[in-house]
Amino acid sequence: MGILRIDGLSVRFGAVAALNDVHLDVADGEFFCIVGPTNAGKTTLLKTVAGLHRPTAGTVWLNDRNVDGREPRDRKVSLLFQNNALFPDRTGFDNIAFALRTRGASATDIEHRVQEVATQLGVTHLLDRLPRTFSGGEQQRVAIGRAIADHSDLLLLDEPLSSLDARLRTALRLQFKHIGRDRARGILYVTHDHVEAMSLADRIAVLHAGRIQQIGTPDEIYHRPVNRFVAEFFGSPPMNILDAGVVEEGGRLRLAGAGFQTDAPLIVPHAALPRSLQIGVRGEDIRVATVRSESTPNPARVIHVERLGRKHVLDVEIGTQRVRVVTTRNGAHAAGGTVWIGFTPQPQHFLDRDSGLFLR
Amino acid sequence: MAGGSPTRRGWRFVRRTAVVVAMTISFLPIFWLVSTSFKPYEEWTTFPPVWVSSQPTLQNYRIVFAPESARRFAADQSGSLDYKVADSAWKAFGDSAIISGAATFLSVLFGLLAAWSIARFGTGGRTYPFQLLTLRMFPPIAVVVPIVALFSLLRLSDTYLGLILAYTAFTLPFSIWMLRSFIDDVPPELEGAAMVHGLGRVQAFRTVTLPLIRGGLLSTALFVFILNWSEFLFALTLTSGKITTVTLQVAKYVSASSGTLYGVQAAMGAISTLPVVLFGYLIQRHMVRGLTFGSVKR
Repeated sequence: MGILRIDGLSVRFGAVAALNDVHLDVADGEFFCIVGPTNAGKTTLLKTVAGLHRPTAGTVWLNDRNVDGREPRDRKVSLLFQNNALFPDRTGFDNIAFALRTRGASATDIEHRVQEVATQLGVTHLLDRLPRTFSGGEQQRVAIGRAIADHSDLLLLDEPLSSLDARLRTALRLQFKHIGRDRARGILYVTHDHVEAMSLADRIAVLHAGRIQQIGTPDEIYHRPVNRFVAEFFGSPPMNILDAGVVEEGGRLRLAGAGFQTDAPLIVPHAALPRSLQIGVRGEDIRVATVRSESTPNPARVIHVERLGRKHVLDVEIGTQRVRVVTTRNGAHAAGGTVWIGFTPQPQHFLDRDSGLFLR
Repeated sequence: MAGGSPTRRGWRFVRRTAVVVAMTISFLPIFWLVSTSFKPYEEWTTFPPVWVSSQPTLQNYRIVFAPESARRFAADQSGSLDYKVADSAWKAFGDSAIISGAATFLSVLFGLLAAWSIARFGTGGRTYPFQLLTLRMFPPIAVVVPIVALFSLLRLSDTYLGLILAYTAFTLPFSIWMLRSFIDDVPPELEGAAMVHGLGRVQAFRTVTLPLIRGGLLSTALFVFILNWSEFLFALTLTSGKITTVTLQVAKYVSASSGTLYGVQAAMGAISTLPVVLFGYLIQRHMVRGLTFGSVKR
């Protein structure tokens, strides 16, 4: 069985439900990401697993052991807090050595292990200093050091890279993969950054308003989102959702919305689609041209152009609906101009307009 | 350093004058206390006032510490005071030290536990701290009669334990309120981190939070001690001769023929401020704010 199993976990603070019937499990050696917007309940989930919050309902299993009512120190987990929570009156060394000391490790072990961790994280110059002299990124790295210094069954990381600059973030992202293998049997990693989750995770759970929306591999989450929230949370720009209807034209199934028409993919069985639905299209799957053509038959107005080097992100209006399009062709698109767009490949994602759930 | 524009110099003058005025207002009573404690009887209430005596005397201090020998001493000298006090003030200082010290310790100890519970677990609900503060606003005179009745029933009147309990109860809301604000300054995640990394809940509080609020703990103790040390009403109503506090002793220095013995009271007052000043001096280096800076992202 896995290193962590969560069964029907609910946590309420007064009238507010922070977590609602959460089920998930983390396999031995797995790197598991929890992704969601602010206030989704991510931190509450970590703190509950660590034993710092008492669940209102549900059970947490760690390493096949029911840990309900167990003290945090008996759970063999390690937690990196979002706000770092370094001990301000202890030096970098003493912060990193904290767990080793409380466990009663020998002085030589502590010295050795702290040096090893500090070298790994590039904080050897901070060992003799107090946290108030650290920069934000340094605080975060020392806090990471404290969390990984001792072995644990499960490493809980709450936004561990949020204070770091982009370069360091990429470097540490790679390191976390190794750290996971070396220092813990599983990692539960919380982030609001979908790119970070995609690049790190073996599996991802998307959390929104205290409920799990979807659990799956990064590919599944990206290519097969279950609902509108997941579809719009992943990808930059997020997936476009357009109102459309299904019409039959000369035996062919076509999708038509305000201001556009396109072929429905042949693989879709005719009867499977309701007449009125929504289609989901990634910005990368929309083709833009300056002239009308077979593959770009629909006119659209450019609202805004975001120039990101090799790729441009265009905000365009089709009929009354706003769509974000990614183009690598650095054409002379300017706000206010007209472009022609087409859907290539044909739209693959269809949502029920009422429930917001994907039909396929 | 003369410099700056005339307006700037003008502002500096105003600022310095304000500081001098404020200092004068604060220190004049203390100066007057000390000065009067060295004045002979004739100079206590004269007009125009004598600021610094031209013939300073230690007679007031003799009366405080050794009233009988002071009587004999004074007999040889010009002018003698008629006073009934026969006890040395040592007893009052001793009693006050025991009662105030013990009550301060208990108040801060219980206050700390209550404050931790309120700050970390929301004990008593959101409005509980305000209810506590309201208790503190209750005038002592309103509760003193029932307490006197209760204490005589429990045989706590005129005992050390009785006064210690009364003082502890009366300063406890103050301790809780003050300590809670210091504990609130320490992010709960620090205790959480300690707990995840091997400590129990109480252990985490003791080894992580407590050292961080040491300054707050000591300042709370100082303020509570000052409250206890200068308390008069309970001391007056809950004792009947066996126990004398400093404040009761001061009130004893009156005489039928000479009225209030201002010089002696001043001497007593000057001495009784010393322990408080000493306490404050000893803890001032611990009163550092911003100790938690750098521990968490704000």
